[in-house]
Amino acid sequence: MRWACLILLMILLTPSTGWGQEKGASPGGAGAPPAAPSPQDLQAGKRIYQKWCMNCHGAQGDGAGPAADFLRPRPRDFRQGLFKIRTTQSGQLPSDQDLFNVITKGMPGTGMPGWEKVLTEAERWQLVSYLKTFSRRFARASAPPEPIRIGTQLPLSADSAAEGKRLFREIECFKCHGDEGRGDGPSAPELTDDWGAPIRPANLRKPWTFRGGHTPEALYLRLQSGIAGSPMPSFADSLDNEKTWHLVNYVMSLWQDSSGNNPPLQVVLKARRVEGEIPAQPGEAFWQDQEPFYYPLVGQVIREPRLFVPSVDGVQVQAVYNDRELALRLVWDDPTNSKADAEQGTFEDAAAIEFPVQVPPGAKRPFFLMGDAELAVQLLRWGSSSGMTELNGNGLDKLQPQSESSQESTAVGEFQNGQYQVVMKRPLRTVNTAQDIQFETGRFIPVAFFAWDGSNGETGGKMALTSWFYFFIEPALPKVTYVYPALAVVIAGGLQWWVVRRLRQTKMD
Amino acid sequence: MNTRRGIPLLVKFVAVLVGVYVGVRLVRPPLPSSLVMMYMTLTVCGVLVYVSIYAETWQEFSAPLVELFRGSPERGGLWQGGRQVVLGLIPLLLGFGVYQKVTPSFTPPAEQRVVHPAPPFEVMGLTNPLQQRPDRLQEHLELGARVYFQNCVYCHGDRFDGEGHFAHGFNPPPANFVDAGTIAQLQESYVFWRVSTGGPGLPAESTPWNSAMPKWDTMLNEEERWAVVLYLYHQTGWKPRTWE
Amino acid sequence: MRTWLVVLGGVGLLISAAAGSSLAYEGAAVAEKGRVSGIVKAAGKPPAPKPIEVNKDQATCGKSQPAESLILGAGNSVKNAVIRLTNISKGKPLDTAAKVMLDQAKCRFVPHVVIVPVGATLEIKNSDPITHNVHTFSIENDPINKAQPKTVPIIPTKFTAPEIVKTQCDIHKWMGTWIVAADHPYYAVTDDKGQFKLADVPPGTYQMEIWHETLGKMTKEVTVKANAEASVSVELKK
Repeated sequence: MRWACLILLMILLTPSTGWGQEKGASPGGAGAPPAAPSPQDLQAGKRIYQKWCMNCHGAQGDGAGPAADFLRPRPRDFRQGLFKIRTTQSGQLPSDQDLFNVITKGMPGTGMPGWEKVLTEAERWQLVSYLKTFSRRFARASAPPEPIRIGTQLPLSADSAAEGKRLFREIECFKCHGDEGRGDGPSAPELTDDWGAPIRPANLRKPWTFRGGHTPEALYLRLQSGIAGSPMPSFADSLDNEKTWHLVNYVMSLWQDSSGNNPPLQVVLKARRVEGEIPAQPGEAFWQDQEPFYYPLVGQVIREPRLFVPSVDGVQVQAVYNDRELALRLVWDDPTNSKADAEQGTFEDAAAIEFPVQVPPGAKRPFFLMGDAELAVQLLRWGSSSGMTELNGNGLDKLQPQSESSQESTAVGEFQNGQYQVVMKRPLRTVNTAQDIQFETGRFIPVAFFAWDGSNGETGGKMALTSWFYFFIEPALPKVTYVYPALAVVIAGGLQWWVVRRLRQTKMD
Repeated sequence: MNTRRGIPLLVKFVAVLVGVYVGVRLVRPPLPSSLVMMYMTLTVCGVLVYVSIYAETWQEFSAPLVELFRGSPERGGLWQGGRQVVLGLIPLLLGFGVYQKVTPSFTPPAEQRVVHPAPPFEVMGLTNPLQQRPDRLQEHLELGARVYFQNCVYCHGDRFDGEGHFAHGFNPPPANFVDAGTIAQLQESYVFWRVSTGGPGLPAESTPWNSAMPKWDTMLNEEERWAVVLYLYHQTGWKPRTWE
Repeated sequence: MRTWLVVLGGVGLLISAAAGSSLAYEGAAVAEKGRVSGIVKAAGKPPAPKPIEVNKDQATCGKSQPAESLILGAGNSVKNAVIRLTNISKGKPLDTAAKVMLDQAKCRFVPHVVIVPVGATLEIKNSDPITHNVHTFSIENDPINKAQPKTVPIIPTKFTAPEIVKTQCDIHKWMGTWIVAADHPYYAVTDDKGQFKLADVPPGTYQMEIWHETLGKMTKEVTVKANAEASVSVELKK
């Protein structure tokens, strides 16, 4: 027994000693910026900058490196000393720690990665020192900036969120962030950053894209400090501690998942069988009960013309079927409701689902970007002006709508508060078997998704996309699934009864 | 053996089983479930041998079980109720186990993908022409950096680790050049071939239909492609493999 | 799209040039006083900007807003040009205790160009029942961006260095103003008739700078005599 205890103790201690060592390895933690950088520090910072930062932020810190034109938001121009993520008042410079934190963690939703894995803590501090040489404002500042004090936190509650919602209207957050927070407010399309480049207000329902993270403290600080260089002002004059927390709580109440993390990627999109008619209206309560699958979309940067700054960053899909038809509900956020207009040179918003025409028996399948010469794909595409269209593709430049008579899909689409909701329906089997995929249950069918935001100049090959995932139409469960367990219960129960009887008999003997 | 006082043998039996199970599960890296199953079977057999080796121990071990099944009229109401529940649960648990077994689990087919397929013969002998001009290294690296940051960075990332801001949209994920398993293993000619022909240039065993790697020879000229290969090795610190 | 950048750069150049040439200003009682008066005109016929169509908050902002980037009066006279002496080092004291008002009324900054002494208080007021934001594009002064909902009637602001600061409201894109932070009292803005006046100027020969947001800037020499008025007429070319 003593041995067992000793072994258990050793097992329990192993991980904890490991933790202890890890902590000990970084003396001082991340809270100790160097007092004054030496010329050697600045030299080292410059070398690091030239190796890792210059190609986006420019050799002169002007935010005009070779990648700059292909990124949105653009890399920061350091010369004005304007930094988005600060713990200081509007008009003040960031603290050294603020700069260090952004270098360490990166900025979600942008091209700025975190450098923790690449640069040591000392190197990141050297980089902070060097960055500060790009703006005269740092040298001019006589005292370090004063941090914003975060007062006592009000916990998230329905009452607090409701008060936050009232404030959201009173101080007019909705002007940019939209009535439901999707960044689709009336002022949103005209916003530019301090350098004149278009900029978008945050979609408050996608906290995983918040540049400074989505902790309650981070939200509090953004409201109090503003986001320098962007149209987001400081609300320090209008929001006291309590009101700020109410607003933070309201924003957090908008999140589908209270952790604020991005929805998990599911490789298989499942279509569940339902009995009877499937509602065609995307707003029907029916759809709230169907399992959602989320797919992140990225720019088409594979074939010319390429799209480096896509507008739609993800689509939520739900799928059900009955004995006749398949129904797919697509939901995606797009801040503008664009229509095709040849005179204005604007394009419609659209989304599409792609399947191979023939579901391949082996691993082979069409190229995910609209098929290839050998294997064709079918697209079910809904556009805000053109409605539902079935297309076939043998490559990005060989995409043709099917003939009128072969168009068997229908769709109902709505746009509201920065969000599209579209229900597409197609018969499981069609007449045009040469061009249409025939849906069968129990098979893994390759599927991919596309979205176009017309007001972002997206049309044709300029789109946001995914590569292949799987679509699976769940077959009705075979009867044996219920018969075998029932049989097992009966047999086990009988055996047990027999054992009990036997034992009682022996006792009597 | 004299009847021991203290912990009943049945409890010890269960404790040993639980202890061994937890111990086996704590092993890192985790053992495969078949091996765990084997260890547990061994343990059960061993302990059963131990308890059945003497009539007394067997008696001590089995008595509570026998009592449970047979029923014991002199026990209290709580015990009686517990017995009913246990006897009811056993067949139900078995039924649930069978249900788990027979329900079809839909898992997508495994991707059998060859990561570094054999290159076509004609690219194997190529050498990077830019290596011949060490005097113009800086210029070539600048060209390579420009090409990388205008074309590759979205997927392969600022850190060259395949974690660019578009990387999460693609399966298979973009190559991680920092990893010892990619360009560190390859010759410059091979990397040049992958850059030039991209996903569509892959042989069937590498599932070209899934790869988002563009066919760069239509968008970048030869010098630009060699320059970006040069830049990749320079930036990551790897040395290209050469013919031994 | 890059106009702000250009404007910003232009203002920056202007300021750095000014910073190089001007000396620290010293305030004292002025014994002999001269005056400068003048008129600013635009050369040629610069096209007048079109009124801006309002697409939000029409209840407060109306259906259209006048474009204030160039306002020409009779005889091509230019409103809202800024006049200042660049090389004056001694003169009447700068009123750092002053309170200058910049109002946001019916979705317009009033006045369109406001002079505030360095160290004095600019009271930024919101007279509208809606939210505006005050976003400054400055280099010598700390750039601010502060929201001003109707619940915040006044935001007091101070400037620490001479600079012409482009200021805008992002929520209402047409709303722009120029805050002129002045390091001495010899600054003026032209009125409807393109006229301006500088009073209590110590006799001497000065460099005078004339700046306008769309017409650019020029400098002119002016000689001020005691108890006399120097008259200046300038033409700004774009």
